[in-house]
Amino acid sequence: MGQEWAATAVEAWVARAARHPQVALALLGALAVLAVLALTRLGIDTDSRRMLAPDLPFQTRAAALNAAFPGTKNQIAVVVRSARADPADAAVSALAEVLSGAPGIEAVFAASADAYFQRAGLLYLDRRVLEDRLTRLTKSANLLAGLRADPTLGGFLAALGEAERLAERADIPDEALAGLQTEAAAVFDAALDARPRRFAWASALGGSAQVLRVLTLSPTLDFSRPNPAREAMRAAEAAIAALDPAIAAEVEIGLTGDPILRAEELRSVAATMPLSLGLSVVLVAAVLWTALGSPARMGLALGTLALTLLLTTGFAALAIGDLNLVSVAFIVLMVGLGIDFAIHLLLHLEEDAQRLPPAEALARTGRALGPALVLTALSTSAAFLAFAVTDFVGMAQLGLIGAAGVLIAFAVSLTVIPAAIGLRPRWIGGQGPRPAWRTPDPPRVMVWAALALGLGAIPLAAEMRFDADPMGLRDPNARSVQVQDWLAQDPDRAPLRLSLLVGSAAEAESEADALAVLPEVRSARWLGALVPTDQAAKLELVDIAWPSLDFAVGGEAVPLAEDLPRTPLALAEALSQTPAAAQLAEALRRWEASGLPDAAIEARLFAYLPALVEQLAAQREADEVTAEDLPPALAARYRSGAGPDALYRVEIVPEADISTPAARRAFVDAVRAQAPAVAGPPDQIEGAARTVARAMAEASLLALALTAVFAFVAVRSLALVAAILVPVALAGAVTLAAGVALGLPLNYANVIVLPLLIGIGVDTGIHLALRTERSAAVFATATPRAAAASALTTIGAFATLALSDHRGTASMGTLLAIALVTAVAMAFALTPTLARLAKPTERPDMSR
Amino acid sequence: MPLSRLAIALAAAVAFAVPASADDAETRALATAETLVEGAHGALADPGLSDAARADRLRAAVSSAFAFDIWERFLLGDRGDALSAEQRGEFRARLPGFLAHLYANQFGKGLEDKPEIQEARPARKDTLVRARIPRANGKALPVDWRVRDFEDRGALVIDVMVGGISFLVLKREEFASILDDEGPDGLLSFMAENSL
Repeated sequence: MGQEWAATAVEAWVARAARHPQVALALLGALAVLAVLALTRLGIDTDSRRMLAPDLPFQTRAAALNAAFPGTKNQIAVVVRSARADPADAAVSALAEVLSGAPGIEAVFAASADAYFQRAGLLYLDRRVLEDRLTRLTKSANLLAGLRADPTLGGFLAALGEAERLAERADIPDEALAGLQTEAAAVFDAALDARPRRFAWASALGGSAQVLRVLTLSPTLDFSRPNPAREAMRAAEAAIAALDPAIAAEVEIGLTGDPILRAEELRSVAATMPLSLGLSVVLVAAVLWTALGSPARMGLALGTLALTLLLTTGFAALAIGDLNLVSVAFIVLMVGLGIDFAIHLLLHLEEDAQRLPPAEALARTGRALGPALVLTALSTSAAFLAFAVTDFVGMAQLGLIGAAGVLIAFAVSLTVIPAAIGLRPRWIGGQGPRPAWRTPDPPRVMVWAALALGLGAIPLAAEMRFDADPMGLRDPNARSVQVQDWLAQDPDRAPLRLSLLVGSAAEAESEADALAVLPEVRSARWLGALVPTDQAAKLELVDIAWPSLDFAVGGEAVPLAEDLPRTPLALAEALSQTPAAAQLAEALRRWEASGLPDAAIEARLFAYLPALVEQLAAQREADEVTAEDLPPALAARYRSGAGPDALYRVEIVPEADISTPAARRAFVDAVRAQAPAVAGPPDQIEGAARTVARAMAEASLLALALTAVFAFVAVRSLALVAAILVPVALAGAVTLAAGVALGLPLNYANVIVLPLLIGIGVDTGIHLALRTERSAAVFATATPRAAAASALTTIGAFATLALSDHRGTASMGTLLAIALVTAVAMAFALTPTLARLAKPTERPDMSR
Repeated sequence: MPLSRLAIALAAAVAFAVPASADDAETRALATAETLVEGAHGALADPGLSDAARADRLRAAVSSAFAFDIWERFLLGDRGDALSAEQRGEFRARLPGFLAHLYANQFGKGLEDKPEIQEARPARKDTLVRARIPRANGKALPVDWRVRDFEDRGALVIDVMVGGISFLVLKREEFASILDDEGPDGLLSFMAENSL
């Protein structure tokens, strides 16, 4: 009954469209104009947090955290990495000076350039490290005073010579001077080879190794732009480009932070788009040419698709307004499903037109194909609606748009194609009679192989997970991602941290103490913990060293030895035989032989000395500090507001690298067991992963159930329903298993594959099942060609995204190709065989 | 000799008699340094003294001017916990002799001229007293005495510096190394070998 009604209705519709093509096309044209007008309401919200329902517990916790500490999420980090502290500090100071007050930047903070840390920085060192540092500085006091007074090559050589002499006199191990000598040798060698390198005094005297410095920028955000922090980003890039080349040559500088990562993400998505687009055009043209046989029919199919896309976009603008990063992928969905109706219709028409004049062919095709088209439109639309009721807002929007889009595609195809044929009847035919496919039904072995593959894939498919970490989507070679890795390599700077909001300092301290003892937690920081510990003992060390620091900064050097060497050769002769001294002696001899002027080396030797003296001058003033002395920019990261309403943030740093899902889950679970109200990116990622995985599983099952109901109502045969759905379910299992095997977890970019697989799989299954029901040799008909062409068109259009540098986009292209090939292959292998299990019916054969 | 003892007594009287202020602290620090230098020079430069008498007098000069508790605490640091009570007692007993030996070793040459106290200047809560100690080569070595003003004990030397290099810090490093390598007994032996 249902099929008969659908056959009659579609037959009448296409006949009417063919009889009144101008009216039909004018009506669609008017709708297209309205859709264009509606596009002004369309926007894109790139905030991934809004892809999930705001009332989910982890979302409300994150919202509370962001409301209390709004600045932390959107900051830009200028990360400076160097083998030596001096150039890194010089770079940070120069950048901080240039960027303070630069357009688009509201605030700048760098601990290494901040007056508080300049003064109190020593107190943050471990006591033993501080003791060692101060001892080195104390022993260098006279040397520094001498260099200050005589910043010449002769003065430098004499200072090193005196240090050598004193070490020898005091029986100090030769290695004590190795740092100075090695650095000096490197600077002389670099000068001789015209390579950049300045004498790094702080590193040579302080013994520090590789350093990482961070300059934090608070950008002015303009969300009307795709890159809200563009102005700050440009200012930072310009400042880096304008850095003194001698400093820049000794440091690596990179930008990261949420605004930069997002901007580069968009850039990486767009980078390979021209290549993907070019390949897609070629592939789609090849598929459509093979399937449809003429440019006119290709144009008709593509025009139908374009109109479908336009009207669907108009609907999205009116129904949704601001799309998100998932729902914006409705275009992929609609290309796959929009072209499906047009291809099936055109190929069926071509088949009927071989025996009938155009008008009769239209009527017969409408009648024969109508039930399948109506059923695919309704069931696929219902399937998409299943996705519209989940907490996964991104997918819910996509489900709504997809549900409407399928109906729009159905209506547009059934109107435009008959109308076009009404205007140009010759477009009904393609390449003429085509050879039938090799076999009427797939061989048994293929059926069993497909079943085995599908069932065998289920255990592996069960391991599929949803990766909600946005870093998992990004190009690993993008500069901002690499810079993020610099930070991640330092456990104390690892970007993924949890936060706990509490109402008082005492509570913060208590929670921090309880959390800090967890094995999964490296540290639990709060405002009070930023105040240096063990201050009395450390200040005593600083106090004892004070006269030495004071002497280094302002004292008059005392000649502690006589007849000091003041030429390179003289020092080379005076040096001991340690490896470092020998290296320096060799460099000094080369320098002497080069005949280069003293000025050529003096600039390198003394460039960073004033900064060290300035730093020592500040450090000598170290005194007891409390939380009230902390820089406001730093305190604001841990305390929001003032007085009794103040909120305190406890920051929980993981012990392990939590970039892997298992480690992240263990960290979040352990911390939540102690502090259930904990929030932050790891909590959001875990919460989102669980929510999306559950939502997708529920929606997929509901979609298949709705499809089954629609199919059963239409065909009244469980075997036919199974013939439609079993291949879809098995294709889903194979796709998920392939994703697991290839290391492609579901993510915000590729999760579109699941509804697309259901849509294309159900469509193909319905067409094949209904055609098999009425035809002894389904593979001799146009239906499998149409199904294959439809899937190949979508694959051709979007599988090229696998070439993208953006991991999310690339995984979407790969999984989409796997899903569609599998969906069509499963339907081809299983649907005809399963459909023949249905008992013969008395339904008329409407296909012939 | 009586004159120098009188000078010491006068200086000590001045040091204890006046109320605390920055200028007064400097005055007391100068007096302490003066006393130390007088006593030490008297011991080191007097050719008529036997070695034992010279050592006694130098140790007495050092003992009256140095804050040994500060030296002990800082020289040992955390590592002092490794010393037993008995070893700690021995350490304290040896410290004056060790510092006297250090003094003689560093400043006991070229003593034809008397050291000259030049100036005092504040160094946080302490005072640095600059002295010029004549050397055998005819030049003078600038030495800074770091003097702390204790309410109950007056002004006492807590560090000696040459060219900004702190003896306290140098010896702390040396003691730490000996304690780490040889333990408390090794340190006490070292002090015994380098003591007056």
